[in-house]
Amino acid sequence: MINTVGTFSAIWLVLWILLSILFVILYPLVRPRLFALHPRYGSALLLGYWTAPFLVSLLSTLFLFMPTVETLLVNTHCHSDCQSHVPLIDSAGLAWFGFSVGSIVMIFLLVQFVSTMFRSLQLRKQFNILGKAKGEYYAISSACPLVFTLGWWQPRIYVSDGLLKSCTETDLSIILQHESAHKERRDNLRLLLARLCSAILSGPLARRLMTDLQLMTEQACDFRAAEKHGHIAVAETLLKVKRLLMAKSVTVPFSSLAFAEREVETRIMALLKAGTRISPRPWQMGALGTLAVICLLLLISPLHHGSEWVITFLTDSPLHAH
Amino acid sequence: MIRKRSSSNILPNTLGELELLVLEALWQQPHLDAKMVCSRIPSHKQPSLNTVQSTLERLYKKGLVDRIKNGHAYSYFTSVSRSNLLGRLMGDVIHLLHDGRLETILSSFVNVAADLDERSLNDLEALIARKKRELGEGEGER
Repeated sequence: MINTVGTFSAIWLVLWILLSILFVILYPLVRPRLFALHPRYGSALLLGYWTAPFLVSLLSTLFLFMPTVETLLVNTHCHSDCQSHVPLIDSAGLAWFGFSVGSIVMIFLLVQFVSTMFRSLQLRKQFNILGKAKGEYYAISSACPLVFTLGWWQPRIYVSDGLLKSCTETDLSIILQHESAHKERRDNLRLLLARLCSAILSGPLARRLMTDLQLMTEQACDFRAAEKHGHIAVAETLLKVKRLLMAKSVTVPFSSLAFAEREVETRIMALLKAGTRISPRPWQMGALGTLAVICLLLLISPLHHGSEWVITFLTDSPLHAH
Repeated sequence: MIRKRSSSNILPNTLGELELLVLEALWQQPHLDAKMVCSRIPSHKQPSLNTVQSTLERLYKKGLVDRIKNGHAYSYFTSVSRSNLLGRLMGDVIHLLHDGRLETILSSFVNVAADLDERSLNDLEALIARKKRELGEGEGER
C-alpha cells in the first residue's frame, strides 16, 4: 500500500514541478496572445494555463494508476511476468519519502485554503454587522472612497459612503455593474484556485501570475460594464475613482507590487482600444479543449515508461526486462 | 508598516461576531450593564450572561468600551464610534490589499497603489476626451 501511495505522490509532484517549469518558460510566448483576446476569454484561458500544471499532473497520475485506463493508453510491454501493471517504487525508504512529501504538500494546500476561507468569513461578518444592506450592496459608513466584492461562493458588494457621496448615478451604476460581474464570475474563487494550483511557484513568478490574472479579471468586468454603459463611460469612471482615492490620500506608497504598475492606465487603454481584442469562436474554444484532453491522454504512455525508467535508475533494480 | 500576523488575526482591528454585536447594542443604547446588553443581542444569537460579561471585559481591555461602577454592576458605553471603527477596518483592508494578502478574498474596483501621478491622470483624461470626440465625429459623419 505504502509503495503505491508513495509512488503516486512522487510521480505527481515531479510531474507538477516539471510542468510548472515548462509553463513558466512558455509564458512569455503565450502572454501576449492571451492579452490580445477579449478579457472574458483571456481570463478563462489564463486561469486554465496556470491551473494546468497542477490539474494535468494530478489527472494523468490518477489515470496512470487506473488499470483500465492504463491498459488502453500504455503500449503493451513486459517486465518479468507480462501482466498489466503500474509503475511502483520497490524501495520502502523512497516510497515513504514520496508519501511524506506528498502529504506535506496536500496539508499545506489544505491549510492555505482553510485559513483563507476563515479570513474571508471573518471579514464578511464584520462588514455585514457594521454595514447596512441597501438592495444589491452593503453601504459602509466610512469616508474612504472604496468599493469591493468580498467572498467566494456567494460574494457581496460593499460600497463606502465616501464613494457614494462622490459618485453620480451613472458612476454608481457602472461600479455596481463591474462588481456584479465579479460576483457572477466568482472571481475571488478563481483567484484562490489559481493561487492554490500554482503554490509551487514563489516570489516574482507567483506575483506576476496573480497580477496578470487580476488585471485580466478586472478587464473582463470592465468590458461587462461597458456592454451596458459604453467603454468611454467606464474609462471615465475608473479615472474618477482613481482620482478620488488619490485626492483623499487613500493610496498606499507604490513599492512592492512590481507588476501591478499603472493598473488603471492599462485598464483604461484596454477600454479605449476595445475593438482590437479578439473574441474566439465557440468552435475554436472547443478545439482547444479537445486538444488539451488529447494531450492529457497522450501523456499517459510516456509518463508510465518515464516513471519506470526513473524508478529503475533510482532503486538500481532491473525493472525493465524486455 | 503592518507587522506579520497569524491568519486568524490578519486584521489589526479584527473583532469577533459577538464583540461586534455587543458594540452594536452599546451604539444603539449606551450605558447598559451586562444583563441589558445580553437582552439586546438578537435572540437567535443570544449568548449566556457569562459570555457577554467576558466579551465586555475583552472589549474594555481593547479600549473599545469604557465603564463606570453603578452599584454592584458596571455600566458600559463605547469609546469608539461606528464610523471610527469602520475607518480603522477600511485602513487595514487597504494595506492588506496592497501587500497582496487579501487578493484572493476581495476584489476592489480600483487598486490602491499610488502608481500614477497627477500628470499621468491628466494625460489619460485627455486621451479619453480625444476618443470621445473621435467617436462623436464618427457618429456625426454617419
